[in-house]
Amino acid sequence: MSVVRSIAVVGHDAPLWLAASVLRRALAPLDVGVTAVELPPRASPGDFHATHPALEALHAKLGLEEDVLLGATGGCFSYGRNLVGFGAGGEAHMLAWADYGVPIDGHPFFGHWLRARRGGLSAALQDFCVAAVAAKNGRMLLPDDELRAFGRADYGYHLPALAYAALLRRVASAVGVSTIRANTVALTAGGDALNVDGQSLGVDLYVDTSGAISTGETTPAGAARRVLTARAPALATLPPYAEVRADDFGWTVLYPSRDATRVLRCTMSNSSDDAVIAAATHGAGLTQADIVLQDLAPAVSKTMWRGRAVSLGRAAARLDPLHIDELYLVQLGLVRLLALLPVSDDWTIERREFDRAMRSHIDRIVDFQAATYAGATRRGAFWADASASAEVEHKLATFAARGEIAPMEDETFSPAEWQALLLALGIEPSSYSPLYDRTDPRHLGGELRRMLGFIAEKVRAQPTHDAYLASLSPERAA
Amino acid sequence: MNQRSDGNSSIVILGGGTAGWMTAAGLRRLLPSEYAITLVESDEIGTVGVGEATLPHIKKFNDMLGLDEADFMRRTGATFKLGIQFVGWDHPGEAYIHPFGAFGEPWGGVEFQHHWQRAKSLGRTTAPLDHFSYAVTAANAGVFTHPDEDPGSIRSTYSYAYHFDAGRYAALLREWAIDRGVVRIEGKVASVARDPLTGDVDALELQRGERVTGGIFVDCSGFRSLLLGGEMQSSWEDWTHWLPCDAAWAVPTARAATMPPYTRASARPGGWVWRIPLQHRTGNGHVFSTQFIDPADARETLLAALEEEPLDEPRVLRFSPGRRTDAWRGNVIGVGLASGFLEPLESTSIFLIQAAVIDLANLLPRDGRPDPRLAAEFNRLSGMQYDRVRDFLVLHYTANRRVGEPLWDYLRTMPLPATLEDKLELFRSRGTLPDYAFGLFARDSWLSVLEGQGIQPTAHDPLADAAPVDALAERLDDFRERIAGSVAAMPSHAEFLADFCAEAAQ
Repeated sequence: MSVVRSIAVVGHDAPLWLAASVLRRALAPLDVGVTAVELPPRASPGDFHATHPALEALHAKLGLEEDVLLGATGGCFSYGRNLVGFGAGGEAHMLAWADYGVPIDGHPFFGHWLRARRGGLSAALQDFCVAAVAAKNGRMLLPDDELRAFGRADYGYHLPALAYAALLRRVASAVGVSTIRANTVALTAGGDALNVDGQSLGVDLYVDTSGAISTGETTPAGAARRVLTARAPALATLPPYAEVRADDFGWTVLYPSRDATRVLRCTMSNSSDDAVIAAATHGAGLTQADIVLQDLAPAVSKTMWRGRAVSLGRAAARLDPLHIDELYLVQLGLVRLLALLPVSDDWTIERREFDRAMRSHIDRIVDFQAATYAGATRRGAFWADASASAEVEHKLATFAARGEIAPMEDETFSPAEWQALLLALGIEPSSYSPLYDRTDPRHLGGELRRMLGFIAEKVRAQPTHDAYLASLSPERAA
Repeated sequence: MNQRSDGNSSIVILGGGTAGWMTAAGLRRLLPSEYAITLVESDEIGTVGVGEATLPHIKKFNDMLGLDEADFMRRTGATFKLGIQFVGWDHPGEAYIHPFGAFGEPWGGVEFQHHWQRAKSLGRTTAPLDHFSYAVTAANAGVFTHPDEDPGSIRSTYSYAYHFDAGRYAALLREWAIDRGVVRIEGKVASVARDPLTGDVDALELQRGERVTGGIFVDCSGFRSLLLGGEMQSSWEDWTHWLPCDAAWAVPTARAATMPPYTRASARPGGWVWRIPLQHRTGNGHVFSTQFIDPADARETLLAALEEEPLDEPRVLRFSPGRRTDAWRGNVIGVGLASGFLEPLESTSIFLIQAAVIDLANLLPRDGRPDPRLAAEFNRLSGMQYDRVRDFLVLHYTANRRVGEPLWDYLRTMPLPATLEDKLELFRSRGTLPDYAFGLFARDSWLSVLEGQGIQPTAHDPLADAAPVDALAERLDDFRERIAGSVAAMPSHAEFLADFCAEAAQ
């Protein structure tokens, strides 16, 4: 049986309810009680979650069906992020959670594409990604056997934060999470109990999803920024992807949803409010309401499990909002925590392994973000303010030399996603592996044509994003 | 400034043996024909070539070359290998097999060893972990057949490798490579010409006067590491403090009366004795530490361990465990013993060669000088492979209970690499296995050796307790029965060999 018999999860909004629900669901068979200590909600109408494909697995464990999720939240699908203007040339590159092309002659597609480009191929890498092509054409990509054989094509969601939090709150209640509302929480000096609005709450394990009870040193994880979130009118047609537009002073993301378009603007830390708002309006091309401005100093906790308290999500790391959502960090922590439930009174080994695994995963996420800045061929003070780990420098160098992504442990982003990012930044590999030259160029050409043909045929047959959303919840159809 | 008309399209391999000819064949297969490949070997210099055991990865290499399995086995006197039996590595007299394959199967998202541990602690099973491994059960029964490709079959839960005569394998690869355009030059290196500006190797000057130029030089010269260590001065990272064995006696004996489908590694006071069954003879050796046993006594230990008549005089090899800090320096890449050495305890030498050849092919320069960025990636990958194997080997040694034997007392109490220490603590306290994606060894391999070396977790993953106990017991019994039933229907290894790939009568 579990040594941990009771858990208190501290926080607010979706991270709180997600963590509490997942823990309760996983541990109910062991009779472990989970209490959510709910601090005042902080999500604003402009907040959203651009979720990672992995979240679907948690929803499945919670019994949360996709049509219920989207119907209740007004959310929609996302096949990735369209990066516009990150390279000096200003083009758009779709970063999908997917494979790009299929292997040919037993070798990964990317090298074949590099070779074909040198031979005059005009098609972009993303043209060989079914998910990217579908998304750019406003279509879904409903899986079938042929598509599954073609390769990976995952998706995430754009979920309005307030509505998602409300839904998860209901789920938490349904799976047996008890709730205490609180205005203030703090760990007692010994770390053995929570002080909740003056009352003591003693449980075996405390999980912090908000930073309210986490203390301790942090390591910087990126340049300080100012971040704006806002709501803008919904788009008439919903793209199934987010659009990230780079400019000299920052970037602006549009996250489409049925009730509104959410805008996220990230810029230099010394920008004035007016400048940020103006840039966001200009970048989005939409008028904005519910504007919230925040300062962000990206940082990672040095220790994420101290005593009886585990930090998840933003309590573990405040990261640059590009490429990754806070909920993914929550999920990372939940998965690790569930694999390291204490078995005795001494938790030293579990704490150490949790910290090691979390820091390693987060380091690789930070690397992906740092590469976006350090590798960008764009000019400007915002882009120059980039520090990169030795691992990122090595990855950038290896890609620039050979188009290969140096494999490392605990990666969130696949080699294909790294390649798509670095191409989007305008980095052109100076060579490809000689192995690729063994493929008959006519065979290569034939395979490329076959792929493009397959993709065009598949995408043509897909429903539009709007039509599919309407089919899931007819009563919500606009 | 030295201009080479063929730029870096010419590759010169120094040294034959398995390293040299695997490199030659592998590169010839993978690279386009513009890359000219030349191999320089001396008939005078003997190669290490003791009977060799391998890992399942070798089949991918052979398949890449288009070798027919039966033909390859016939020509190299090969037998099948389901794993390695470790005798006396924990307590003297006890034995376990480290197999190629899975133990049980996960259930409810929780790994098998936790379910088994729980069942044991509840008295619902007394079956040892081995009973849940298809490969161990088959190995102990002395049987073999090819695994099933259908993932639903119990026979898909194992894989296999080979024992073979490394000299014959090298000869086979030599023939394959020369047939496809690799140029072989017989000769011994007298001196090495270097570019005065870059420090790169320009040419090998052979004793009989030939000058072999090239853009890239692959050092397969064995322990001497003539180019990588000697010329390029790539420094040596020594691991004798973790792996004290520094010598080996080797002797071939007659073909084994029974034909076990596994390698045997038997612990001895001064090291360990290997036994590798081939079709035409048996390979034997005693790996030992000169710090703890005299070579003459070590020779006696080997002779006393033999089960068949020796076919030759034992010969001795000396080595140092460790690796070159940089396997690629300038335009020289070390493959095989020239880049590092780990004793053959887990049959990793040929695997490390294979990994290096594939990585080298991928990272070879296209035009101009080698790219230091690609050399850096090669070195990173090579280092990772060696370090992973090192930790796994150290585990076998350190987790012993051969109390009172000075070598083993040293090994039990020595400070360990931190990376290994963490893994041990995690398993010991809760049965959690190491979790990494790149390099050897698989999680089931760690489980096998940790368990076999007597490391008993004091607890299991609490999430295993969610499963109903009766269903658990039934599930375990059913799995064992499926294995036992299927293994009982398999032919003996000797029979299968005779049918599949017996050597033609000489």
